[in-house]
Amino acid sequence: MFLTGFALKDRQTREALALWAIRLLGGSFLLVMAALVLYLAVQGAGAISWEFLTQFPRDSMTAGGIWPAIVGTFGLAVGSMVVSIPLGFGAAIYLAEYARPGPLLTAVRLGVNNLAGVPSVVFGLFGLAIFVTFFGFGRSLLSGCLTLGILTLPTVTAAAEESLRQTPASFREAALALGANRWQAIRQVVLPAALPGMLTGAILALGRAAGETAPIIFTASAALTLDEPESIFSEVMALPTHIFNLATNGAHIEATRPQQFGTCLTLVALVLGLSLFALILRARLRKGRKW
Amino acid sequence: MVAQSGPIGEALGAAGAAAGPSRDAREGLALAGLAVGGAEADAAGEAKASAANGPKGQAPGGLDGPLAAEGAAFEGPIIEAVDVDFYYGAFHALKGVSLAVKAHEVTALIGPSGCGKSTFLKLLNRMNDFVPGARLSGEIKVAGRSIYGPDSDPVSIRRLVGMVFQRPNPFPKSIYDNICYGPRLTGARKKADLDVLVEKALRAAALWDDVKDKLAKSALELSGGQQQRVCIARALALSPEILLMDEPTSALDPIATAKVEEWIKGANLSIVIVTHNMQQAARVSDHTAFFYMGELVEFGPTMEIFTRPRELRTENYITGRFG
Repeated sequence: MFLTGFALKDRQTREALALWAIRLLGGSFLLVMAALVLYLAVQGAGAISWEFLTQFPRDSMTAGGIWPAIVGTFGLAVGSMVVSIPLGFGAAIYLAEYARPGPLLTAVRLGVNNLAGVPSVVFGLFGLAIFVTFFGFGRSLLSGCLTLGILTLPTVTAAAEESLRQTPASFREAALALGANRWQAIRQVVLPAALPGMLTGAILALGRAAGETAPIIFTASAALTLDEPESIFSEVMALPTHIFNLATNGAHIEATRPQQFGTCLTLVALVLGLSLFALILRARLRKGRKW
Repeated sequence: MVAQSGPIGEALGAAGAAAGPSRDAREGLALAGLAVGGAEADAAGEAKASAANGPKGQAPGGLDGPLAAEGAAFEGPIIEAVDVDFYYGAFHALKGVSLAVKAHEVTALIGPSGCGKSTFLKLLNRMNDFVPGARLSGEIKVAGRSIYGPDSDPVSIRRLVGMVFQRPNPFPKSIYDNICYGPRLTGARKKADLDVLVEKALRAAALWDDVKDKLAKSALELSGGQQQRVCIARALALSPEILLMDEPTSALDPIATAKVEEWIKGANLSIVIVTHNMQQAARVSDHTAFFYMGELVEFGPTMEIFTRPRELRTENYITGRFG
């Protein structure tokens, strides 16, 4: 039953080849990531200053800062989660815990997954038609949050449902056998166990909401505001649209290059910061919840 | 104390399961359902159990009638199934099963995989309610009351008929919170009551000495055998009349299995246990029911089933000719 020398050698060679191919692929991915971040950091670091982060833009945006855009993006990202997390988690609980398997459930799930693939500009137009015009919210933080909330809903729902499904059925059984009703079993046992996984989808969605450009052009963003947003009905500046405006519409496109990269760097840092916060939250929730 | 947590509070009056005969009547009574104390508990067990029901109030959310109070007068079988047919969709899982289980005995359900023994077990606390397309005919009574009748409430039935599953399934919570899960559902909130209850339930499950210093730790950090005993303690914390055990040792190593078996033999509680392991059935049970292809083939004292079975199919199964 021993392999002959030749066959053994052949197998070892193939194993080594496969290993190196995988290393190469993984390495090149890291390299691209590192190059991108490094490029941004080198180009943008010069523009970052306390003034840049805390002031309004001045002199046709060639000077001053991006404070209102930071506030706007933060508001849009957090606000969109306020919309999509309750709706998405609710839908996920229904799909995973209550809905009976059948053609209807399959159709709903297919719909959710396809919705995740719809281009964001379509959501932008939808938001414009429904929230801005029909409900009369105008171009505002509110319209932007609702639009981004719906945009991120499929991501949040799909991840939350998956996480609920992966929670061992034995937890539900145990709770029910101890005299819990279904909602008690879900709320007290299933949800706490599934929450860290459910948050994973929300983290991804948060990053996406902060970085989306097209939908908020339609629904929320102004090229320049002179004040911080006063209410949820105010137009807001946002980092992605600010970058877009500086790089395409400004009177001094070349002169604002440092601001463009500075804004990019700030956006990346903001998304990372928000994700990091969510990751820490998730890690805390996960403590002692391995099974 | 009593006002808030009802009989739980009272049941907690006694300090520990090992207390035995020296305790006054009422405390001893409370122990009856939970005792592991072997001889001491057995000696007075039956009498205590019936008398206990007098002073005990009704469990919050217990069966409609105060079972605890009626239990004293109730002499019949604790579980009685009459002509039970059960279907999963088109599949006829149980065929005309009739069975009467005596109180404070251990009843083993044996038979090859898919014979319906687990299905029957889960009918006893209505855990099959969640299976889509399930259908039942016939009648099942617990302590004289029909549990599938129009007035019966599955939630209160499950508080009366506890269950321990095949794989240990403690919640990803602390040991303390695992034990308190059921009592808290019934409204027990007072820390002092819960503390006593946790100790009592863990002592009854023969786990107290192992875990008394780490009650706040996650139950998932325990060994498999300890986890299963946490699950037993969790079920006992509701002071059930009956405990259903669905192959409770099949995921455990031999030492942990021995500990759980020892507990079963000492427990003064009506236990119905499903097992694949015939030696286990012989070791722990008073009565044995042999299921085959959805039928109850033979039911009788364990000694008789294993030494002189009446049916050829039973004999073939217990001698290992099939299964």
